Amino acid sequence: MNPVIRGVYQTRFGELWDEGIKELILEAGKGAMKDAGVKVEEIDLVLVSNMLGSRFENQGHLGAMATSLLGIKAGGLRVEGACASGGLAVNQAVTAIKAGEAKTVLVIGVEKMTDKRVEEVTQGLMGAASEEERRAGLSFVGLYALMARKYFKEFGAGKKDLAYVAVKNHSHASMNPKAQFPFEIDVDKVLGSFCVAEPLGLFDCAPITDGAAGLVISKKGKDKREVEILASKVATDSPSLTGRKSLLELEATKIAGKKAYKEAEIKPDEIDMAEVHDCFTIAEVLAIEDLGWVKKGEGFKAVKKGEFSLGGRLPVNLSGGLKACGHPVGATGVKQMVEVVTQLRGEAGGRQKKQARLGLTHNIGGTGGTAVVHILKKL
Amino acid sequence: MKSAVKIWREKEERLESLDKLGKVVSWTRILEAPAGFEGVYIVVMVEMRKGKRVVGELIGKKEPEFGARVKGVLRRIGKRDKAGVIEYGVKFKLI
Amino acid sequence: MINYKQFTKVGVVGVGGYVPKYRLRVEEVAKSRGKDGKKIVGSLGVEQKAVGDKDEDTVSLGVEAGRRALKRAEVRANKLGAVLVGSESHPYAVKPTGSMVAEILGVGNEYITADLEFACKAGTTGMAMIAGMIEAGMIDLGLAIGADVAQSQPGDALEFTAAAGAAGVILGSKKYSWLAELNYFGSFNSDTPDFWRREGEKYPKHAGRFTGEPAYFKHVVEGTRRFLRKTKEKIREFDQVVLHMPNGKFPKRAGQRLGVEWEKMEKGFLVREMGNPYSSSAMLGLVKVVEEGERGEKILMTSYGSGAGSDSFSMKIKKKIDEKKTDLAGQLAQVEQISYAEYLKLMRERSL
Repeated sequence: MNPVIRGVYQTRFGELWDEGIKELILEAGKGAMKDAGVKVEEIDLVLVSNMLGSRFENQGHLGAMATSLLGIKAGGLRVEGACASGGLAVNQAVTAIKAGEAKTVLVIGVEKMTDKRVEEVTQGLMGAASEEERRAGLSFVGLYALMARKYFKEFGAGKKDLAYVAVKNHSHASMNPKAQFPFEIDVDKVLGSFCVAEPLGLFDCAPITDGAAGLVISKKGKDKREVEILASKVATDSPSLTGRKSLLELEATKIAGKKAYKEAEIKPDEIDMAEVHDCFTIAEVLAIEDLGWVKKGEGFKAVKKGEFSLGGRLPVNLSGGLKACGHPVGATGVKQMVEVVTQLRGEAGGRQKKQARLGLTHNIGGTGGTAVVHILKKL
Repeated sequence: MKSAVKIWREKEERLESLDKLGKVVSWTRILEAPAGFEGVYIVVMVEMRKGKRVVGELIGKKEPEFGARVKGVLRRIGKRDKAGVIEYGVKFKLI
Repeated sequence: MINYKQFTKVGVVGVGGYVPKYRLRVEEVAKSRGKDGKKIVGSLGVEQKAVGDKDEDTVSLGVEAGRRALKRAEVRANKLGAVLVGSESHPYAVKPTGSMVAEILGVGNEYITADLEFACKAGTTGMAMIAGMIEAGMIDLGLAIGADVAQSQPGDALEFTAAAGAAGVILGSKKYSWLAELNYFGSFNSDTPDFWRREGEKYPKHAGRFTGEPAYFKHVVEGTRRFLRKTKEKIREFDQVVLHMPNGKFPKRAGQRLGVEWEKMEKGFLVREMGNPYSSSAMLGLVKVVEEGERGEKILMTSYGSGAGSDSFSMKIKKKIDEKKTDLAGQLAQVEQISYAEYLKLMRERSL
């Protein structure tokens, strides 16, 4: 029997100077439990997803911190897989419930990134890569730039083509009050932004964000707003780009995607809407190709045509994605679930995909070392 | 400060591509360097003769082309650190 | 008292030099100060200086020179019994450059090393120590390196000439094939504070005009004369003479006083086009004259280190190297000019 998501909550994403990790955990945990209508005593397990806490604040042990803050007597632990930590935490919740170890699990994804300067955050995020890549002076943007340049050469794409991804996601975010950048931009704005690692510019990149998101996942019940988790699959690949078979795809995405479609017994084009991991514009292009919605090398053309915008055949990143909603690393995978659940419940307001029945989340760690794919169904 | 022991243990790995030849698979020019690195520089992904792929800084300002031939030379690499142990490793030179 | 005993068992087995390709013109530096560059070039006798990249240091330069010397010598690094690096810019105050260079070259664990410092003459003193060890039978092969990434304070006179470079000389016993036989060694030293750098200070200081007569000239000219008297060699016997080159004027004047024709100094006279790379100055001149030498040519080299002292070597070329296989001249022909701003940027990035 598949578990269901009963409660969801997302804090505002942005530069939250007044909130620290503790405040964010509290807000997301309480919010999710309230939305689910569950009491503290009903929680059997707490999973906290977070990447940088122990590095930036010397604060590990977040499982115990969360249960203690929320007054939960059950056990808790931290789950980490770089930027895929959120998706992995959901996956572990599903596993615990299917194994009969827990009936109701609280998942909290949280990240506090703005207490440190940009260069320090850039360096910290490289913890998701390899020592060789760190020694070479690469940044995350640099790693994805290596992929973008190869993609441009292979498929005749250019900076302008990637810009449409950012424009689309901002357009979606303008309808999301929780987004970090709830405003529209145009292609010129993207192309005019200064270069960070050629050929990627500032507006090709997800921002540095604080935020948290929470979910209450449990065995199937009778709640009308429950959303079923049809599939939860993980795949891993070399954390280092040098160990991959190709720079033009994320093999982990393809494998996790295939496994998820198989478990859910659906075909890729049956998905109505999705939240994919657009840490950089190029990442979204690769994702929609690797998840089987468009041929390899055609992704950027389809985005430009509007196929993946609200109103298109398969809207992607209606929350605004990582680019415009924000990317608090450990929280993103959980927030993606929040958005899909909200859409499947029909509660997404101006950015609602009409009659959404099947949704997908795609969460990546590093440059593709981990991929987690979830498929959700409206009950 | 990176651990002196770690630097010592990684010595062979750091020098693996020294004097070896390879071809450029892709590259980027980093304009916003991570902490510990300075200025603007080019990083290349190189496919070495035996097929293994590595990444490293490209020496000089000239942008390479796909398939350009490079050779590994000894340079100081890694994060700048005034007081720690220096990491000597390989950067790539267009030949 | 030095014995000035003739070497019977020591020869030059390999030589190698490495000079970074960036050049900063004296006129560029002068322009940044609002001074007349042409006049300064004229008074220094130097056009430009070699500048190391942001990630080059004495170890990386030393490895490049050592590698080329090994290639020339056609010997495996693990045969070396000694690796001595002389420099005034060792990367560590405590942790020997010698063992880092040796390890990267692949020398193994059984060799003698400790770092040497004597301003610009530490490399040649390393040569003498290795020659002595070979003559005594302690080792059969040794590598002496002089390498520097010279530091100079922006705005100071030294900024025009302080350059980067490295030279490696491999000496060996009769078990190896010699490019040149080593004849004599002598040294002349004193406590003379012409140029120095205190522990913890970033840039060296110098005593202005005092660096001339009482320092450079005294030790180079008097030192060489004493050396020739003791070894009973005559200055006119020598076909090539290499003197330490802090600028383009001092060594020419010293040569004149010693009675050396300019033609005999020209081949190894690198300072005009690359500046003064401190510990590798005289040694690079030696590398060039050995690479381009003719059989039977006699070479005299006198280095100079501030503080102060000079080392003199006499040797005779046994083997001529094929013109197509020389290395240093080719390197010196491939240069890339940089601006003063780029130079400051490299200095800043190197010092971080």
